[in-house]
Amino acid sequence: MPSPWFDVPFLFCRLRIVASYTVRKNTMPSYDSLTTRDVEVAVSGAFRLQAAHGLQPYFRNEQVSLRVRGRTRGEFVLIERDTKVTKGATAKFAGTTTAGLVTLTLHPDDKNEAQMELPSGQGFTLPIKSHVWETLSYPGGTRTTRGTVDDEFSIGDFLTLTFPEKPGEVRLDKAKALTGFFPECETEGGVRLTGLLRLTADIPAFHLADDTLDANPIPHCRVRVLCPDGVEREYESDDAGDIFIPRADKGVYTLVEVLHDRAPQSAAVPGAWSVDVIPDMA
Amino acid sequence: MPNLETLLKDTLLLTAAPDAPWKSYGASPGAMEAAAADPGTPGRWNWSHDVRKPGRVSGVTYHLPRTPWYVEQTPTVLEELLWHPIEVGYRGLPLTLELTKKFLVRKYETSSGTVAKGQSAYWLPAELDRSMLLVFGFQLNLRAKSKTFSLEPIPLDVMERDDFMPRPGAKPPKAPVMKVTRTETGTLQLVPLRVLVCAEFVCCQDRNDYVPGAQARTSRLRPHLMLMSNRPLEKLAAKISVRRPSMSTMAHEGGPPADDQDGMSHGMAAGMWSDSNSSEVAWEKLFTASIPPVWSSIFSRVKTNLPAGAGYLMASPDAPGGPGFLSHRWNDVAGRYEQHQEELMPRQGYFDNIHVAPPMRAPKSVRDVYPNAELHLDDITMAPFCIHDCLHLHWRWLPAKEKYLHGWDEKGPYAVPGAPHIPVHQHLRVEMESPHAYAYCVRSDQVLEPGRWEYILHEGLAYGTNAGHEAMARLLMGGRALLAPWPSEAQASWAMFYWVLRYSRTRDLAVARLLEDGAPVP
Repeated sequence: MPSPWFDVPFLFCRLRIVASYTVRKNTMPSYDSLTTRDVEVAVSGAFRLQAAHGLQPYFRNEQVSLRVRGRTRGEFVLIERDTKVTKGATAKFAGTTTAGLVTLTLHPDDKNEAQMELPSGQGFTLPIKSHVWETLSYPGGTRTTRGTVDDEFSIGDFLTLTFPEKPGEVRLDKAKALTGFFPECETEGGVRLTGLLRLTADIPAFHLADDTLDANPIPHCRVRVLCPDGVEREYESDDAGDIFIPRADKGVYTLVEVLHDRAPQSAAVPGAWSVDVIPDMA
Repeated sequence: MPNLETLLKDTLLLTAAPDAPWKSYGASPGAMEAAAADPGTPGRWNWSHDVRKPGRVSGVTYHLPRTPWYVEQTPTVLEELLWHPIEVGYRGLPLTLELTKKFLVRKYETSSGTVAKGQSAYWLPAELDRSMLLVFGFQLNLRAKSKTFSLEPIPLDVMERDDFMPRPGAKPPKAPVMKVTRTETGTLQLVPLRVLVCAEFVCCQDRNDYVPGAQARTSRLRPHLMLMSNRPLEKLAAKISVRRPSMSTMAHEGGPPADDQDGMSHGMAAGMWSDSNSSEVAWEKLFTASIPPVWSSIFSRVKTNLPAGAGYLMASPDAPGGPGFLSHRWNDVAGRYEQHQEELMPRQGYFDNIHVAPPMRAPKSVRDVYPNAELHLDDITMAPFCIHDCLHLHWRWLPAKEKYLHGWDEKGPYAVPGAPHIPVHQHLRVEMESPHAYAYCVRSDQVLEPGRWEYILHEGLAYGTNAGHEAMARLLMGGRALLAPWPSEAQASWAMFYWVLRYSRTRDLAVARLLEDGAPVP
C-alpha cells in the first residue's frame, strides 16, 4: 500500500514510558499463601530508527540503550498451621540498559496501526542489587535472615499503537502491550503504561522536563543558547518541551540559562542535565 | 540527602512510635499498598478526624480518672482544632498551602509510643495516647498555563528519592555545563519549589513536667505543624485555631453540674498571664505555708474574661527585652497600689500564656452571706495550677531551673531559661475568636533555610488533670491564712483559695492584688 512513510529514511524517537504493576494474590490455592509483586519503572531514551522497508514501512535499530529508574518489591508469605514463612526481595535501581533491538512496523491503512517491538531477552537488561529476606515465625520464636544478591532487571514488550499521519506524538497509555513490559508480570489486568513516543524528522537540541519519574515536559519555557557563531539567541520549548534548532553538522550549542521572566518556570531551578547521543546519525 | 521516610523520623509521632502504620493518599498508580492506619485502642484521649477535611480535628475529649476534686468523667477538651492554610513566599511569589485531601500524602495513627529521656532534642519524654500524623506535599506546577502559578501534589516517586530535600546548610549544586553537538539532545530537568508539611495531633498520657516544681499533672496535647521546603522561603504565616466548647461539662464531686450548689459556673472563659521574671520569686517556694502564690508575687500582667477580637503580640524577635511595662501591685499594708517596672526577657511579648477554663464559684453559703457582686464570688478564675477542665498553653515561662521550661535559642528548644518557647525568628500573635476560642498566629519574615524543619506551636498545649495531694494541701494551707477573715466554709474551699490569691478583701470590696491590664489605676 502506498504511504508517504516509505519516503522517510530515518525516524528520530524520543521515548518515555512509565510502567507499574501491582499484584497481590494466592498463587498456591491449596495453601494459605499470599504473593505480592510491586514494580514501578520509568524508561527513557532517544534514538534513531533507520528505514528497512519491506511490504510495510519498517524502521529498526539494534543498538538502542535505554535509561531506567525504578523499584521492585516481591514477597511470598506461606502460613501452615502455626508456622509462617515470609520470603521477599526489594530493589531500587537506576542506570542504562545493555543495547537491544527496537523495531517499528507501520500498517498504513484505516487504523494506522503500528507495532513497536523491544524483544525480551535481546538486550535492555540492567544489573541490580536486590535486598532479600526470609523470616520464619513459629511458636518458639522468629528467625530472620537478610542479605544482598546480584540480580538483573530487564524490559521488553511488543506494543501496538496508532501512528500519526506524519511524524508526531504517540501516546503510549493508549497502546496495547503484548508481553507485559517486564518479566514476571501478567499482561491481563497487569501493567499500567503511560508515556510518549515522539517521532520527529530531526532531533531536538534541548528538551526540558520536570524531575519526576514521569519527566513531564515543560512547555513554553524560554532559554538562552550560545550558538557556534558566538551569538546568544533565545528559544522557546514547544508543547512537548522540545527546542529544535536548525543545526550545522559541526559546532557546539550551549544552553546558557533558563529565563526566569515568566510564570510558572520562574519558580523553578535547573536540576540534572543529561545528553542522549544518536551515534549513528549521519 | 533525605527522602520522605528519613524526614518523617523527625516527627514526634514517629519518634515515639517508629513502626506506626500509615495509610497513603494521592499515591501514583502502582504505588505500594500501605498498611491501613491503626484506629487505635481506646485511651484517655479521643477525637474525630475526617480525611475529607484533613485540616480539622473535632470532638476532642479526655477521660479523667476520679480525683479528690472530681468524679471520673469525660469532658470535652476541644470542640475543634483547625489548621488554617499556610502562607509562604518564594521569590516574591505568595503561595497558599491548603491542608486539603488533594495534597494529603499519608496519615499515620497510633495509640501508643514512647519518647525516652534523652532520645530527642526536640521532643520531651512522653508516653503517647491516641495520636495522628498527617503528611502533605505541595509543589509548583511547572506545566501550568503560561504566566500562572498553581500548586499540585508532590509525586510519590519524588518523595522516595534520596535528594527529595536538601540537607540543611548544603550548598546548591554547581550548575552543569550544558553543551550539545549536532547528534545530541540535551535534557535539562527543572526542579519546582516543593514544600512538605506535617500536621501532628499527638495526645500524651499525663506527666508532671508541664509546670515548675513538677507539682501538677497535665496531659500534653501537641497539635503542631512542621514545614520544610527545598528552596529558601522568604515568608511564612500560619494559624491554628483552638476552640473549646462554650460550656464546660465537668461535674464536681457529689453534685450534678450547673445547680446552685455547684462550684463552677460552666461558661468557658479565657485568661492570659505573664510570669514575673523577678529573681526573688521562686516557684519552688510556693508550696510553703508562708508564701502563698498570690498573683502579685508570681505574675506581672493579667487579663481575664477576654472578649472576641482581643489580640496581642506574644513573642517577637523585635522585642529587645530589658526594662518593660509598668505593673501595679496592691500593697495591703499601705492600702494602695505600687508601681513596678517589669524586667523583660528578649523576645518576650505581651503575655506568656492563655488558659481557657470555666470559672469557679464560692460556696453557696459564702455567696449568700456576701451577695455583693463587687466581690466577684461567682466568677473566680483559677490560677495558678488550675486542674478543673483547664486547657493550658504556655509559650513562655519564667526563668526556671527545669529544662523543660526553657525556651528556644537559634539551635532549638529547651535551651534558654525565660526565653519564649517558639523559634527565635517567629512572631507570635494570639487572637481571641470568641470568649472560649483563640487563634495561634505565627509569622516569620526571615528567610527559612531549605531542608530545615520549621516548627509551629512546638510548645504544645496541656490539659490539667490532677495534682499531688500533698502539694495541693500545702498550697491550700498557705492560702488559708489569707482567708481568715472569711467564714469557715471559705477556708476549705478551692474556689475561695483561688479568689484570695487574686484579691485582697478591703471592707466588702475585692481589690485585685495585681491590677488587670488596661484597668484604671485607682
